[in-house]
Amino acid sequence: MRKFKIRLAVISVIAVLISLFMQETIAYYSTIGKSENVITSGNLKMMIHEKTDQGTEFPSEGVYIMPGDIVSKAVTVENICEHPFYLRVRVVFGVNSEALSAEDCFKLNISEDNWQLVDGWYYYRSVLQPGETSPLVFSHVEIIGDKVDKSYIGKTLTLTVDAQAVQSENNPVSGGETFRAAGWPEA
Amino acid sequence: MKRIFVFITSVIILVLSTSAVYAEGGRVTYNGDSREYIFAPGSDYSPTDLFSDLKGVMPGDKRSQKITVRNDSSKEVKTKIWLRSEYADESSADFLSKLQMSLSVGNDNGQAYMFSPSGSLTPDNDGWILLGLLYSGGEVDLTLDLYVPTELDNSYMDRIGFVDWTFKTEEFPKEPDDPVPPKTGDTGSVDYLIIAAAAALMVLFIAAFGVRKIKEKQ
Repeated sequence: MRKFKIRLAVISVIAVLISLFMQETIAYYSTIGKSENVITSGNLKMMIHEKTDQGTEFPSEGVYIMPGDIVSKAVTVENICEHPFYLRVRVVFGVNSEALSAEDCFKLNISEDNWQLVDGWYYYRSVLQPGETSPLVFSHVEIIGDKVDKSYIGKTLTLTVDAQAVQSENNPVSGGETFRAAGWPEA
Repeated sequence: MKRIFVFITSVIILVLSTSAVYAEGGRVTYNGDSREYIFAPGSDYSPTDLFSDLKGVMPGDKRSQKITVRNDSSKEVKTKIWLRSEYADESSADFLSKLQMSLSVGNDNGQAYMFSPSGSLTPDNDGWILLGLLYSGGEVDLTLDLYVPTELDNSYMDRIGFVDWTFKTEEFPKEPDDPVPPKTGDTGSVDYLIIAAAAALMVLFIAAFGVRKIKEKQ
């Protein structure tokens, strides 16, 4: 019985040995693996800031004005994306009366040093880098007394700042003439 | 004290150098022992994402994505490696079909001798591209060049495109003349097999010795 056990043990060890080497010589395999890869496109994002000279947000409900008033309204644009861009802004005036016009009711102090006026748009002369805020578009709005007469009493005048951006990467311009950049939307 | 400083410095250098290695593009590792693929580095979008350098592309961009494919099999095999690329869905196809992409096989990672390129990267009828023959322990660099046309308009801003890359490996026995990988000190499970075999032989020897002793007693 003891002999039988020893023989069994020897046979088992040989079997293990054979199986170990068999692992190296059995049929070859094919394997498949899948990777899910992602390409994303970038974006351009900006934020228009409108502040008073106290540093607070300009009230969204507006302010009461009188002819000759100078209203504090500091407008800047911030690049809040990961790509640099060219920037242009325009100011659109309106009034809630078909009989009246809002044109020439406001006077803005837009600096030509930083902003170039072309076809109604003020083009920022430089590239606005990610995280950067533009110089002031304007800091205050003057209500023209000669224009805003009694007919405007009780009316609402609006001043809307539009801003547009186009990528500056792969889109060079010369001499700071950013209005010549490719890709500006049709106005 | 000086020794401690040297040790700390060495560790820092090691950590930095390790980080630098893993910052280099995508990695596809074929593990022949467990017969599976491992993909790295992954991204927030997909754990198997190989395209670490193709995020936030802009019109006019030219980008290159390096992908290293490694045959990490400890067995003495050579592997035919195939690749099939497919857009994951219609939205991805709409976006990605606007981009120009081309794949090439490089030979400048120092292990070119461990890879025999197929020569042509033309897909067959089922879309499979035969990259070539990669010997166990070897690796090869693929380069995916991407160009984003300037005509891409605002409707393609902020888009996400998924493209599935399926790798297929077929193993073949190595020939005596086939190249061998550089020695790294890591011989994997072959070592374990040799140790196991030696241990088994020792048991066998002891058992035989035991039988002889019993016979002598009888």
